Amino acid sequence: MNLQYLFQWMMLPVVLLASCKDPVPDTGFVAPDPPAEVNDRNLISLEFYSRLNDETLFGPDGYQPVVERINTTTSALAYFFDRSDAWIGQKSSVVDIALKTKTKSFFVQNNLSAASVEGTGIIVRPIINAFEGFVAPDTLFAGGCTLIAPLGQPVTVTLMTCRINGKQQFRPLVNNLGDGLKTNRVLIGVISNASAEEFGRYLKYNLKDFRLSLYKPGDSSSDYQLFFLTPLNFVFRGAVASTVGTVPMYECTIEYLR
Amino acid sequence: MKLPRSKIICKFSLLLVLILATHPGMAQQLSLRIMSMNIKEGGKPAGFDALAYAGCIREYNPDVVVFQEMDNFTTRNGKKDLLTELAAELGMFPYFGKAFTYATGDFGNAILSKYPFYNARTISSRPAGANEMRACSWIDILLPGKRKVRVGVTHLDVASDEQVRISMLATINTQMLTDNSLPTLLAGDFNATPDSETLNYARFRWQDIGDGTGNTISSTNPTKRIDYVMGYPKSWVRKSYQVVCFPHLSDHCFIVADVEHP
Repeated sequence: MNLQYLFQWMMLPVVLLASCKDPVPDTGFVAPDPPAEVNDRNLISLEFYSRLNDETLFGPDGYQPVVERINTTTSALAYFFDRSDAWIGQKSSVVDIALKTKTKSFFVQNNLSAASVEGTGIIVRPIINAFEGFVAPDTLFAGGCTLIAPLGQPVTVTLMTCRINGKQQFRPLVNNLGDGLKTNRVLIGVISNASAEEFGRYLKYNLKDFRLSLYKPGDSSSDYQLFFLTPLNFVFRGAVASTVGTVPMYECTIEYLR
Repeated sequence: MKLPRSKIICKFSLLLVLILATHPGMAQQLSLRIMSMNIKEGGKPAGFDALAYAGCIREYNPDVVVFQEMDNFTTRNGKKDLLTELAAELGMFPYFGKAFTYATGDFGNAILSKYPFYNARTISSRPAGANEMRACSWIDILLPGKRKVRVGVTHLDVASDEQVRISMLATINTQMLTDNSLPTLLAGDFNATPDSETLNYARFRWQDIGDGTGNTISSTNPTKRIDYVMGYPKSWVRKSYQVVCFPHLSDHCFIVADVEHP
């Protein structure tokens, strides 16, 4: 028996022992805690109108109270109208709200149709040079406005939205967002209660440099909840639920962390 | 009875074509009606009346309308948003692209789309010798037939130096076509005739879809063709192309084109 052969036999138990050791568990991405103290000078305010279900947002009583609020309360950087559906060739609610509030309207569709389109309207005050979005037909539509937030120092931010109601949407969303979330891209939308937990798990192992916050109002009968997917330099700080006319609205606050 | 092998192959091929053609996931051919309107000084000829322009647009029922010389809340137009008025009236989705600040408001191009758009961009440039800043705006649409298309609008400078317009087009080509795999249309007022250096340059990358069609200015006596619908890549099919003149709406005639992309 030569020495090399003996050495191989001696090393075998070592190799076996090493291979039997538990692998280091992959815990996925965990965002660092944000500062406990909130900097009031770096807060972005958004208004998100949603019934948090699968019904159309505006009923027969319309949206005049919403128009009045937007005309008198100008602190929000953007206004989102979940399920402010449109009918092709007919005046859409979000365009009409923009007309009556002297704002600019955008629309992120949820489905593809030549007749009626479900989606989320967005209105903003400035003229928008870049409306960024992506589509995975039959699966996912997302889009939003790039604008300058007038914070302590002006910050460019893209405020995007989408509606998530199934896990088939997770992969196209992450594929389009990229490995890590762009530092100026903030995604605000609604997610079905059934998908929320799995969404968090999926992101943890498939996306980096993000924070995911969920907000469910006290009324637990809602089918959906709000989600806030932000890069590390933004953090969701809270939402206040109220009603404008008969339309539920969530005044959301996001802080830019310098 | 035993069928010949050629017949079996033929039947299988037909069946395969039928299955593919009727599969819900299959994209249909891209067909689009585009309308281009230079509305002169924000719509001054029609007294900035949205209903006047809406009536004209409704008559042609386009999928996309591109506007040049659109005012946004200017003192000239009575501080109104003519584009959003049109969008509300026609049930379309609006996008305004600013070229420059004018009369305490904004001046530029605009787009109305029958279907929601998922991307929109505005770029602007002012090359040496240009009279003013000019813009190019575009939107990306997923059509109900599942085909994506990019539709843009521009209004090139009226400067006497052709190099100014060529420089603007070079910027547009870089920004609008780089990394762009979508069939693309660019329509608007090029302030250049078909035999100009500007159009020679444009045709390097773009297909002049209205090649050989009528003059577009003036609307009372059209003697020059300066408004175009361009296509990229050069594989668009012109199904119809009309130059329609409404002197009470503009000094330009408008273009209405039916186009297809395989």
